[in-house]
Amino acid sequence: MNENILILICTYVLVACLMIMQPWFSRKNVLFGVVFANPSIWRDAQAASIRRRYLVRSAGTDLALFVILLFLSFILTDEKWLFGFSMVMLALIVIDSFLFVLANRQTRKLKQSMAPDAQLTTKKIVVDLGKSDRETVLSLKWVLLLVPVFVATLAVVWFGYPYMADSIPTHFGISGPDRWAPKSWHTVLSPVALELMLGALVLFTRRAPASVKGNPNAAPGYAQYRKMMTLLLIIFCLLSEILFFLVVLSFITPISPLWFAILSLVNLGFLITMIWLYIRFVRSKHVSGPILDDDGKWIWGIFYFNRSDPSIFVEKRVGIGFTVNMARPIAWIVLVGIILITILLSR
Amino acid sequence: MLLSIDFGSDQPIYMQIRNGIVNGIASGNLNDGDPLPSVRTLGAEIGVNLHTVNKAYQLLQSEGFIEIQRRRGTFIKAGDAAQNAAEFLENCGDPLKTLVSEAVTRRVDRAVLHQMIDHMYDELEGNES
Repeated sequence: MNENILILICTYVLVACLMIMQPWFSRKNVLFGVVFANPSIWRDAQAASIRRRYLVRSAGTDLALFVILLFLSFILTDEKWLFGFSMVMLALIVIDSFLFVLANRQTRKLKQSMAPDAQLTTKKIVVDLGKSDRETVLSLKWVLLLVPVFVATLAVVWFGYPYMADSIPTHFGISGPDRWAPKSWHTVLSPVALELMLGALVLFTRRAPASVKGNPNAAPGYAQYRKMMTLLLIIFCLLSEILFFLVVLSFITPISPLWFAILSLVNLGFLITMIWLYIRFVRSKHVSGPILDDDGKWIWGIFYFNRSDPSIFVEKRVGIGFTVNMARPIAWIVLVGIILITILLSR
Repeated sequence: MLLSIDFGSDQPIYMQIRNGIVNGIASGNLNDGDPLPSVRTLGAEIGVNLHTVNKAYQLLQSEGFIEIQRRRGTFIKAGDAAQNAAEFLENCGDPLKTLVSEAVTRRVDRAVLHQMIDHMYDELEGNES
């Protein structure tokens, strides 16, 4: 089994674990994207049963797919296995998402069967006016940190193009470049486009509101969490920019593979930090007061669609990070743009 | 200071924002120089169109309750509103007359209405001090 296959299998295990753990990546009063006023719903016997069913089904599916993946690695060539891996990953996401939607429907039924909660309202919202943007939104000055490395990368691409080798490395493993493409503007500009995309994402998510509203205690400490997440995202972008800068520089002069390995490992550390931040500042917080019952705005508990909300990005209801408001045309442009850039860069 | 918005109310949301801020100033919860969230942030927090919040802020600025500074943000500036008391008295005659007319029609005792207004004044001024 070669090194790349091992990395991809590790990626599969990581994604599968995150998919299985989904119900735990939400506030305690949110169950499969359905909001309740009281966090005690987490300990409810029926809720625990829905959660357990999801856990058993998704873990079973992911394990079966894992066995298929391992089996394929013995009977297929590396190139065919890569295609098989993409199919298995797709199956993992589709099946686990289907199981999530099933659990979401069961939770909605459970909510309907319960006595109406006076703390759950569709008509009222209380917001804190006492906090200015300086306290709740990370300053734009932090985003400026991303500019110098971006300009440096662009400058190296622009002025260094004539000096670049005819074959450009397009994929890097732990031991350095392992895939190459003929030199072209499309190939050398790819890292620049990725930097631009990451920077734009930081700008869009700076003001993303909480996924649970109603009163300032519906998402306590959210503003602090969002600031830290944005800062983390900026540091992640900065390190990615440095990585891309090294990639571009490696088109001209060889760079020690150790740098790529170090930066890739640091980026993996960000995932762990994100999970820690979520548990510390979201999951462990005690929710209280009236809660806005906006389940109707969350399709299957996953997709946010709210015409009256001006936000392009909002906090995910389930999972760590942010998602788009599908009712905003600009969100579709951003989404399609990201998909297009990803497809174009992977070709 | 907490602002409560009722989506089911007959009163437009921009007026609810406007009234909530005026109430905050009167009760002393919002003071001169206090910053307010930006139009974008407040719109996202409430989940309403940016024009709705912008309309409320523009109205408050024209009435002298707040000051919108292009780069620095939006701040409470109630001093200007205090200077426009005469204009306010001139404008509030009609709505006050409607209220008193309704009270008279419903046979509400003059003293009770007086008492209610006094009580509201005491409550707001008490909070302020």
